[in-house]
Amino acid sequence: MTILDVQNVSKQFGGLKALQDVSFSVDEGTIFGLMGANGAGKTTLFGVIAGQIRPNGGSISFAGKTLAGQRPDQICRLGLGRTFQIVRPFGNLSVLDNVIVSAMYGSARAHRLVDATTAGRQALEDVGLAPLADQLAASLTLSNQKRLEIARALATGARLVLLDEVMAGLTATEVAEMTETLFRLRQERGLTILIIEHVMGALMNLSDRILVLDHGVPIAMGPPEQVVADENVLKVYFG
Amino acid sequence: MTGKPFLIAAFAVVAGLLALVPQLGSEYWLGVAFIVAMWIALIQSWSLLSATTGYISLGHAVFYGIGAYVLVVSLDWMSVPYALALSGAAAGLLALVVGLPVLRVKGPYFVILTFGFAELVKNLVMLLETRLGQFSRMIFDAPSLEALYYAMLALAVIATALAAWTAQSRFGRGLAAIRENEVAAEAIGVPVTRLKLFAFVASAIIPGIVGGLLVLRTSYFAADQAFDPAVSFTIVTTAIVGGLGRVSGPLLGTLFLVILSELLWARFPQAYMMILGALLIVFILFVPQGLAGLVGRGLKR
Repeated sequence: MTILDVQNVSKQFGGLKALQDVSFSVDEGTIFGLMGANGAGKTTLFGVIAGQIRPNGGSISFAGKTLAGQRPDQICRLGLGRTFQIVRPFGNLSVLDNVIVSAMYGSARAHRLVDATTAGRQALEDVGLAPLADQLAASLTLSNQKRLEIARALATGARLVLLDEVMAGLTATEVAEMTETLFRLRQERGLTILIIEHVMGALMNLSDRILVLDHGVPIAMGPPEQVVADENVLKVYFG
Repeated sequence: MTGKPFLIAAFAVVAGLLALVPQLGSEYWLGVAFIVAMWIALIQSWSLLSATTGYISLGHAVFYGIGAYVLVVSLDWMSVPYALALSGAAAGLLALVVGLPVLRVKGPYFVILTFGFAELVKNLVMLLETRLGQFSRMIFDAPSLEALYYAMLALAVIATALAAWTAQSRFGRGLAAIRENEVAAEAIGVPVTRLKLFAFVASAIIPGIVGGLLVLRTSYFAADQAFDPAVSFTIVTTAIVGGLGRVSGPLLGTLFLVILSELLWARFPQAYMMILGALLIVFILFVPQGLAGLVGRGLKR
């Protein structure tokens, strides 16, 4: 069943065409990868889906509801969470408080502190941050702040999460751990994941399907093995 | 969290003691206690927006002033309690109307905008009063100081309770998320604009009533005094001296301010702004956690 449907989305910043006629759909419970060089429009696409950036054209629907004109907080409450490539922790709050506020306001709607704490601790457990729950978020290492980004998106109760380069800067072992974590979340929670990643191997491993963007234009889409063999993709990546 | 029952008990004792002040039978001490309650009410209200979200309002005198003005005008038509309620409502309404445009800007721009807005309203009211041929207004047969004091004390208690409730509520956590990172807060479902506006309105209502009570106390209204920017400066300075982000901050700050004013400013009134400025510099540079932070550290030891 399709959970996210993106149709003919375009976005222009002045003269720069950041996204041109991008269409794809993501099935529930799958992992969908986004690939492309720097400036290909991947993060812009995330911003458009999550409501931070208003597209110039096209339509997006999530779980059968159109997202047109909705604010980011409304989209989040529908069950769509995101992380930020440049991390945005609530630095002066504890790690646990970061996820508690997520659970209280997100689609989980855990308004009571006990419920929000349970949901928050679960999310920290999922990404391996549970031992650091009482530390200030600002004191975490970058890779742990990336984990916190994921935990915060999970704690909202999201059915679909957009992960923006959460593996950048992680060691090979940590990448393997994170890959395992994401597979487990999909298994246990039926989570759908849309992921941007520069670590190619990881993206190949994870994704059921991949979309490749080049200067805002979709140039290939399909299962990983098909995409890497694609003529256009080879041209862009290897000249 | 172990200090919580202790803190609540401490607040209750302070409120109880303040409630006994009229029994002293001293007009002077009652006047001082009235001022203490007034600053507590004003600063706790201000903190509701500014200490929680980091949107520092330098124009809170506008709510206090509009409350005073509405009271003095409406007293011709209604009794004191209704007029006071109207003062609070007018201040809240003003915050609601200006909140949407003003809360779009952050940091120093918000500070300047709130200050400018307060000055604008002050001058508009002065212009209006001049046109009406009113240079000042007097109030006759105002309630007794004792009655006004109890009302002011009630506001101080309500504002403090509101601050304490906010600190641990879902609402307060949303505001903290906004202070830390607005974009991330919105992405996790916090309705940022609505929450900020709600905090702004909540922080304006009590100052509106306070303005009404003060004008009843002085029995005299003049726009340049009611909208005096020194009120805004005092609120911000005292809040910072007391310590932002702690319910006890405004209480300690007020205590400090009133003691200092009894000792110094009564004798050197022209030095008021200078001393305020010096205090602000010293505390921001050397005691950023304020008096509440110092006391907190002292208790831990």
